[in-house]
Amino acid sequence: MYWDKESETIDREELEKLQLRRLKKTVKHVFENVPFYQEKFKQAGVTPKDLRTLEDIRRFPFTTASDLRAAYPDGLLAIDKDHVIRLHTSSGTTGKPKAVFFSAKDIDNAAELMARCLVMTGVTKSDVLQNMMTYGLFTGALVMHYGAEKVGVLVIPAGPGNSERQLMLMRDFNTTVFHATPTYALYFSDFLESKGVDPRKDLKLKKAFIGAEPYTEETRKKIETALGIDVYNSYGLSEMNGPGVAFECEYKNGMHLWEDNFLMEIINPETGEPLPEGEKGELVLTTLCREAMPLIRYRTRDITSIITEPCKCGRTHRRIARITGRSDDMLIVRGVNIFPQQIERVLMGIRGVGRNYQIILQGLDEMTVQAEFDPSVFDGQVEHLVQLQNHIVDKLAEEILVRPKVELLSPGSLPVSEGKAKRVIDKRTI
Amino acid sequence: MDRTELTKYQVKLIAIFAENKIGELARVSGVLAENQLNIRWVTIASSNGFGVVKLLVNDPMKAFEVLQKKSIPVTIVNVVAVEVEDKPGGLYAIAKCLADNKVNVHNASGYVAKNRAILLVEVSDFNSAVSHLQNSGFKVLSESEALQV
Repeated sequence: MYWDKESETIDREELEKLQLRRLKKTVKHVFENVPFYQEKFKQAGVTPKDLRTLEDIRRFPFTTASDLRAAYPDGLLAIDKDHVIRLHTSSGTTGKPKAVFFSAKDIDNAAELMARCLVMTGVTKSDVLQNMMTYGLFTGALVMHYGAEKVGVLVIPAGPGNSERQLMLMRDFNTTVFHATPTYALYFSDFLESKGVDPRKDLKLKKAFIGAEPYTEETRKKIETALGIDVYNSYGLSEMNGPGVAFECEYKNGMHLWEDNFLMEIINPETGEPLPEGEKGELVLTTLCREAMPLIRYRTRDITSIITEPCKCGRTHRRIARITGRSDDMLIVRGVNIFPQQIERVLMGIRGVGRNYQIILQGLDEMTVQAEFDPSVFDGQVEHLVQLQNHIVDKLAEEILVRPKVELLSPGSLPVSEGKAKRVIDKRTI
Repeated sequence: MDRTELTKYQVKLIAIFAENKIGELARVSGVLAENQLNIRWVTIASSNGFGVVKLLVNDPMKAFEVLQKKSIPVTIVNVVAVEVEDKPGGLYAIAKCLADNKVNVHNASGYVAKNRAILLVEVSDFNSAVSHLQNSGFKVLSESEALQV
């Protein structure tokens, strides 16, 4: 089943021609309307005329998350404000968020891509979608909402949490599809079990769209088995449209990235050099249809690879593999964005803490901060160490809004790698 | 009694920070064994994933040096070693003497060797503790006496 068969199965050669046309238009648009890009292009010694082939994009500079923060609130806006109809921001907890603007056409495009995603998993207008993502500045819920409405699905804008009510809605309105984070989906299946609800018998659920946080294949299986449904992986980021940038089809093997709307590159995150097709690296996206806020070579910081072989579903848009990590260090713990630098700042400000520390994420979303203590404050009193430990927990909770477990370690017990120490060990099972 | 006189009563315990993990105590005691250091007495206080091991060894300064060389967090804690009468109320008498004289006890532990019961006490005010205990007729052991028991 296709939503837009012509676009989704477009011949690769045609697709590349279309991409080049749209890329040229986008590059010209930002060069003429965004001083930030004028300056960036000048520094890189390029103008829109240097773009003759798709490969020429490599000569153009990257846009980074910090560029977006520096441009806050509207430094990257490319059209008159009168034509902007929507603002979304990223979920930063400290400092400035990233602001993203949409024109009416941008919103429609995002909904259009979302509609493609839904239909390729088999959703039809007979379905009932319970949207358990947060409605608000976050793009996750609204873009899904608009896409589902386009398909004609009955949308229940439930938002996250309140499992009792979620269950009531599911029962009373025969929900067939839900959209949630992996954490909430797992939590909700436990909740159903505790209520003695057998989703296979008592509910009408058929599928779920799970995204907004990275998760593993094991987690997918766990949710599928617990609820008796098919789980489809969803990829997106607020800097682009939000969800619907890439999505799994019925074969659930990698996510088709809509290449008529985004030009994708995979680069070596250390050097910025492009990697051969199929190799694992950082995903870089250039918007091809955006009006309000086009982004050139945006570094998503997400690590993935392009799946080269064609998909059995017949779509020609290439797939990306499940995201395996982020090239930068931002952590999402219990839905909160945390930078290891914040933790470092707190630790280094506490007397009695040594130089080395490590952040361990495990289980569903548990955070343990291991800190070496400064031997010069050691007086042989276990009570003083406990006080230090509690003090670190309090100070960290103030800064990162999450209360981690703190372990005190002997100085020198953490591995110090050459150059940059490995600060974050993510062993989470989701 | 002046301060220099009192220092001979300072019984030095080696205090070591140890994470609560397998092999930690083996590592520490291994270092001591390699250096021919004899452990006379040991106490471990643990909490929230780590602990402090306190040891009475035959040569505390040497033990301190060899442990420090191995980058094991170590410090020296001075304690009062006082002999407890082997009868009901023996410990009470000592605790009351210290309390009456406003000496705070941080930690205390005891051992019995050669039919003598010795209490090791970590106190807020070392000198005051020694003087008051002695004035009340308790036998306070010097470091060398404590090590010979």
